Amino acid sequence: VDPDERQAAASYERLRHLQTISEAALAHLRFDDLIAELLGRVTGVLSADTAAVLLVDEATNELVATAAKGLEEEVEAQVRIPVGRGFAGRIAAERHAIALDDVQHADIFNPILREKGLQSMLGAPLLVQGGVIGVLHVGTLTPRTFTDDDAELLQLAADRIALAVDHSRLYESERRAAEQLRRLEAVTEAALAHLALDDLLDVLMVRVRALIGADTVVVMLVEDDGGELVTRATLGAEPALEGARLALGEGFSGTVAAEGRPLVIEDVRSSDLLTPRLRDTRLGSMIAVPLLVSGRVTGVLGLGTFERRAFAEEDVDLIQRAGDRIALAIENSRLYEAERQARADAEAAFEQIRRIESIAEVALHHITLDDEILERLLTRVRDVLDADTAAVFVADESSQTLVARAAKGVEEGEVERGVEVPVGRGFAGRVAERREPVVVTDVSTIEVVSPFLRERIHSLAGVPLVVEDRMLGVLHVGTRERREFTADDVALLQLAAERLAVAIDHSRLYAREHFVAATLQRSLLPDRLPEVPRARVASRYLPGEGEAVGGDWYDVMPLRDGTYALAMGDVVSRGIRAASVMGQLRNALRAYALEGHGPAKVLEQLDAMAHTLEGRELATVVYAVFDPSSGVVVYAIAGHPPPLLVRAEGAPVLLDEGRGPPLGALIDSSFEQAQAVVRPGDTLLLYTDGLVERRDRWIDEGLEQMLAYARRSAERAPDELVEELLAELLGAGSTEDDVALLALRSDPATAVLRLTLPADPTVLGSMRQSLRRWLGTVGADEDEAYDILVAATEAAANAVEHAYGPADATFELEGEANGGGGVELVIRDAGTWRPPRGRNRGRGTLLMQALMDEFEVTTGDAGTIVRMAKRLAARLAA
Amino acid sequence: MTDMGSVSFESDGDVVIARLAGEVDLSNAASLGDRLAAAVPNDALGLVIDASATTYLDSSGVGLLFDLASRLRRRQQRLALVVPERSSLMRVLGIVDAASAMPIVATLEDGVARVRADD
Repeated sequence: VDPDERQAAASYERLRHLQTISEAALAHLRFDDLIAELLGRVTGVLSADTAAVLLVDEATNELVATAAKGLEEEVEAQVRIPVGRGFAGRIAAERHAIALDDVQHADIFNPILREKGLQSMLGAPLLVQGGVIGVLHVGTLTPRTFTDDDAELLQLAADRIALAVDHSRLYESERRAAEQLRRLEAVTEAALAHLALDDLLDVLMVRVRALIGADTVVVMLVEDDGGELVTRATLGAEPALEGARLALGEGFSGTVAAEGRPLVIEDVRSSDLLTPRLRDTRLGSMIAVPLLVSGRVTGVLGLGTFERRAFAEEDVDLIQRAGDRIALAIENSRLYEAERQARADAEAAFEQIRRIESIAEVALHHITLDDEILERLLTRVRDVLDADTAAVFVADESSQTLVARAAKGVEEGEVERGVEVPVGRGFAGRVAERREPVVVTDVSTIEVVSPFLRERIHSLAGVPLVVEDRMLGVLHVGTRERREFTADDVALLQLAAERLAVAIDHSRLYAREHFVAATLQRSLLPDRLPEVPRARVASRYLPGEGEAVGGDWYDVMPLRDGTYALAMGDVVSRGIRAASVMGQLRNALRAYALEGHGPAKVLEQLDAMAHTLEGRELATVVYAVFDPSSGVVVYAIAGHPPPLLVRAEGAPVLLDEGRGPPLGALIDSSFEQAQAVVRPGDTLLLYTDGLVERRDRWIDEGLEQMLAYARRSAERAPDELVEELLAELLGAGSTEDDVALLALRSDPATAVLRLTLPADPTVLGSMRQSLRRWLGTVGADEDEAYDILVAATEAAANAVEHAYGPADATFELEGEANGGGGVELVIRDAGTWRPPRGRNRGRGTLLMQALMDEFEVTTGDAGTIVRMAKRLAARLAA
Repeated sequence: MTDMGSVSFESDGDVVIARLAGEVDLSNAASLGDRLAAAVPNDALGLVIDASATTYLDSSGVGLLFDLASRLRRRQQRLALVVPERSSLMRVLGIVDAASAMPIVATLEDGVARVRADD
């Protein structure tokens, strides 16, 4: 055989072996199956009789047999081999492959190998990032000399196994970490969502209890003066489980607070740490951890179980971590409440400034609400630390630059100049970069960005504003005279910084949420309302001044049959969610309305659709279809305040029929529709509850006030009406809830109707429509209107048919309610009447004469004019 | 809303029934007249026009009815018109004396009976 050919065959064989071991399909196997498969393949490829995997137990530094082929006894016996000893131990210690040609005469630690009758062995280390995690070895029952190629193949298999072991371990620890993280996140997420302390505690306790499956949870907080622990909240336990108050060092919780470390009592009965009361409870085991904020004990979180149980190290760790988060959440919540108070104070102050401003016409535009708060805080910081300046620098979005945001004292000018400091440069920049307090006793020894600091300030102390690892800015104080800031000074400054950071963070989060929701909602309200024939429409939307954006919306849309859809709705939830629900409901309503269903059906479909929305969403809606030609409005209501019909003549009425439950409230709600007539000059008003309902006023009172306004303001144009209603019901003050209003006013009756129409038979129908409506406004009854319509159509038909041939011609129709108790019609065209053609024509004149009281045709050079008049019973009686 | 005229047909044995609904004026009288005439086969006894749902009818419609009556008469077929009593339409028909050209009755049964009558 040609040596080259043999070489090629060997290479091919080797490649095939490599492929056998590193095949991609292996990746899909579970860990155990993968190892078993690899051991099988390794023995096959190397023609070995046994194969085994041993993994290092880090705790004892021993190799433990984990998987084997042909050597299953080794795994069963859980053979442990110290690293460094025997065959496998040496491989692990020396980190490279070792071959044993003669097992029977070698230093073998594991007797099983010899008992099994192995003659030769080859082993390779399992390496992960340079570290040994185990050993893979193969053995033969006949003597054999392993080659370098064999060793290389085995090492390849070992690498593959090492990777699988590593992945599986990583996965396992990832999974455990993720699970813990998820449960801890649940604790933290609650902390963010609820900022009022009591609400916060309610939620947190439930979640903490679920963390380790405890039965009782108690949160005790250290009183402000630091003297005693006071029970703040309990879950599943008597309120005074251990007594409502405990001195530090007293009882179980008191000891935890005093020592600042977690304590576990596995058997409550036999513990000496108990208050008598606690001994009387049915608790079997207890665990408590201190609530720590910046190393200070602020309270104790205690959990108990009725069954006796042992708490693993892991449980204690988990509870302590939950405790840390709760401590922070409670602290944030306290700060937030203080912040809210400060905000209220600042708002009051701002209001005062605004008044002074309006009186003195002094431009104070640069003062904004947030700056007010900041300046108040800074004043406090400066005073407490007895400094000459206190300033806040806020990081921009990229955290690359700090901008002077507010200052109190000698640096105030810096804010006006909008001084910017790059992170990493100058004093503030260094604090931001290091994310830890920096004290400089002599400013002249460091680089400062602002020349101002060098000139006026001698000593500085600065701390970063950090929330959840995000650097938001820097707070610093400075003195004109040389001063060595103490650790206490810095601690105080840090306390203020924590406060400030939370306040800035909250205001940013709030601003972002508010901005997104407001933008979303605004994009969903119509920019412009469509024109409604013979009516005018006006709308107003007033955002609430409350915490979050509301979900009010309205819509006006022409339908295919010439009617108009009017809708107004209010989603119960708030914020971004409300805005998105509102968008979905609005679009769904549009779709159902366009399908041409009546209001009751549309609301039924919308209700069914609301049930499909994620979460439980309630919304109220009023949907109305208005027919401009008749003034008839058909409406249905889903839990919404009743529309108001402001009458031109007569008292205003609330349209409170056709009521059904709110959307999403009940399964299979049914809705009914009702009908009303919007007469000429009447106004139909749709609104949301924000108009009539306020925290300090009952809805009935609001409705009464609205009716009272409507009684005296029937003649208002719709845009005036909505403005005045808002002013009347809401006054100058702000509203918590948002308010939407939509007014449609049917055009008032006009004494005169004037139409210019193309001389085409197809316009006769719409001419009659206009005329019919006008006749209604001037008091013609149904029969009279019919007669006049026929007469007018006859005259118009003559104008169309007889007057002239060519296109582009027009004729005019004029109607006027005359003083004599009737109406007068004039139909005018530019042509000349011709005698009727055909046998059955010419009855038109007969009809006009018979149906009208007066009839006259004048034909001149300018054309033909038909004058007709008819007395109307209603007008004669008036 | 304008509801321009429409017509639908059915038959009651040898009598064709046409339901004329909506508004009839110059714009649609001619085409409606053609459709009505075409709907009556030679072997039918005649046509009943049910105008109960006719909301408007003026001289164009009246002309259509007179035309139709004379066309059917030439074919020795009969025409009857159903119009509710005391309707606005009845006033118009009264003025032009439509009853001189065709029987005008209040119900469909009467209309069919008049077309089948042996007189």
